[in-house]
Amino acid sequence: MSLANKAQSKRLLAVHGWSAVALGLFLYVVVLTGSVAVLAHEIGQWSGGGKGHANVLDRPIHDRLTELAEDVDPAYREELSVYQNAAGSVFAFFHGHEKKEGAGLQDKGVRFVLDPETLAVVQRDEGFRSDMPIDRQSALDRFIVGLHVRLHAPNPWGLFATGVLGFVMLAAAISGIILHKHLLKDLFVAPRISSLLLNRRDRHILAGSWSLPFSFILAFTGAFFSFAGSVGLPIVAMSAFGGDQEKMVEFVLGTPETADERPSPVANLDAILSESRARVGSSPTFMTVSHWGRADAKLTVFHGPAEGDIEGSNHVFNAATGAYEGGKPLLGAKPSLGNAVFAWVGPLHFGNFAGLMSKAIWVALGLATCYVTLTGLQLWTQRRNESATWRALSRAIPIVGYGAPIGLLGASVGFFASFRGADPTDWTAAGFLIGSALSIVAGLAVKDRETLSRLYQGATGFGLLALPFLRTLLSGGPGWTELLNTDGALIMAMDLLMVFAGLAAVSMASGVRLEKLAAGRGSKAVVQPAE
Amino acid sequence: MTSLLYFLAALAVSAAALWYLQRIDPKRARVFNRGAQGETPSRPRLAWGVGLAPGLILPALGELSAFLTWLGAITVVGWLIALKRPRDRSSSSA
Repeated sequence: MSLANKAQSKRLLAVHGWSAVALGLFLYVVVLTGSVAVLAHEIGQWSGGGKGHANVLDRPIHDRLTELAEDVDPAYREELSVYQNAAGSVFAFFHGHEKKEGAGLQDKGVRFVLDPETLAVVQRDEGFRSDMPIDRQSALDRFIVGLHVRLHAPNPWGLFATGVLGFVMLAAAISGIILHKHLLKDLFVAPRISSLLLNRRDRHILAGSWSLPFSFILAFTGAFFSFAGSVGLPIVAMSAFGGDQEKMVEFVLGTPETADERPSPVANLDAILSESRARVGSSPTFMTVSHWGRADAKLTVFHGPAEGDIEGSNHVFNAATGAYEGGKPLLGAKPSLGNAVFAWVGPLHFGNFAGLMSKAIWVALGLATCYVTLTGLQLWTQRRNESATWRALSRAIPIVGYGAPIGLLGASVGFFASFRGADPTDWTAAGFLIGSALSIVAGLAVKDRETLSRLYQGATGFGLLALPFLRTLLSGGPGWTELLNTDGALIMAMDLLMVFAGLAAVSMASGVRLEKLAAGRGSKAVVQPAE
Repeated sequence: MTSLLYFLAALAVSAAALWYLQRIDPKRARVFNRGAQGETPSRPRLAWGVGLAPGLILPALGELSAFLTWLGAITVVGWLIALKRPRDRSSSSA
């Protein structure tokens, strides 16, 4: 049963198609990089050699942090953040808050980068957090995440762009539901092979129908992340707090207790973390200590979700006495519906609540959305093939469709090639641009569509197959003998994933194309009416 | 570990129900050159009920992680099942 009459359907189809046509290729790049970024932690471990796979907050760290605290300006002991990035590097950032010209209040202090095994200082940076260099071990996963989150455009414009793309995806999903007259009836309709256009249409509708619930979820949560900080927070501050964001943050996070600046030694952090682990049932992933060395010092520990749960939790301890003070909502000072909803936004977007199983499914959901985007664009342009403009866009679809993954392969090669010498951050970006540029050149030079598709698939396949070797040969990452003797299962699994994905792409490059199938079998195929 | 087992069990039940539903789908049957009705009477409502039952059971058991993972997985599995290309019986039997 259609939800719209004929005229409304026509208008909705225009909204559905034009919104996707205008921004569909950008949306594809954001969703593709998002699908890859679901595995950012694993990519960080894999590309960085997996040195720090053990959680630093599950090990004794109190003595090391006490030594480091002595090495910083007392003004920077206002707050300490301790965390581990995807590649395993450990960060201890002692900082205060200062106004930076043109950027408002910012974190400023001393950041120690620690070796995850020995906790020795491998790098010391001082200044504003936003000016500090990216950890070279984590350059590849940070590049992929940056491309997904803000297309590497300056803040806040990149966030605006990806937020708008989130709304485009929402609009396409909603108009798609209303347009599709037999959504439930057609959930199992077999893609027709009587014509290429009908086959593509059926495949587009099938993938779109099945991925609909998660298209909503991923688009909404993605738009939330893009706009919450860049637009939502300033608007709320402007309307409810007269533009005072600090006052608003204080309202949301709770009023600080009365200051007690008397000096007091920090309680044993290892014992506190151990107690927190026992209380929550999961490992801590992040901790902050406010007012280090004072009587009013507080330790806040963030835990990932416990077994069977979706959301993580915050727990507060008195860092001078070690006493447990209670759980703390992620948002606001007291439990609320807003906090409950907010706590689900992250897990729903990142799919990181049930380890590799949920991540693998979220990757598949993201790739399904990529498929829907590209097949939708193909349908739109194929139906208007008589126009030179649409034919030009039609040529751009495989260039971007294959060019984005080839660019990501180029980024990986750039990272591995520069890991031991040059700056991996710059070379990762350069590798992406080189890979993308080569894809564009190939797309312009090779006129035959089938030859071009095979070329792209072959390049993607051989690139993926080469990555495990480049990881060891160029960057000096651990080989399989070493990985077998240590706890290197994750890196081996990532290597195998590259090999299987590479073989699949090479197989596609050498396989029978759908066009041939349709041309050769179309006369015998059973033809079904369009609706 | 318990959540993983709940998830796998739920996915197995739902995947079996989805497989059955695609087998008895009349439009699909026509594309496959199969008769719309099989030898035994089809029960699509029962199959939908069984397939979606984990969506009620898992939250009731407090297994939110398994529920959400199942919800994501069945959309992918359902798509892959439906995507299967029809065989052309006239060419295969020739």
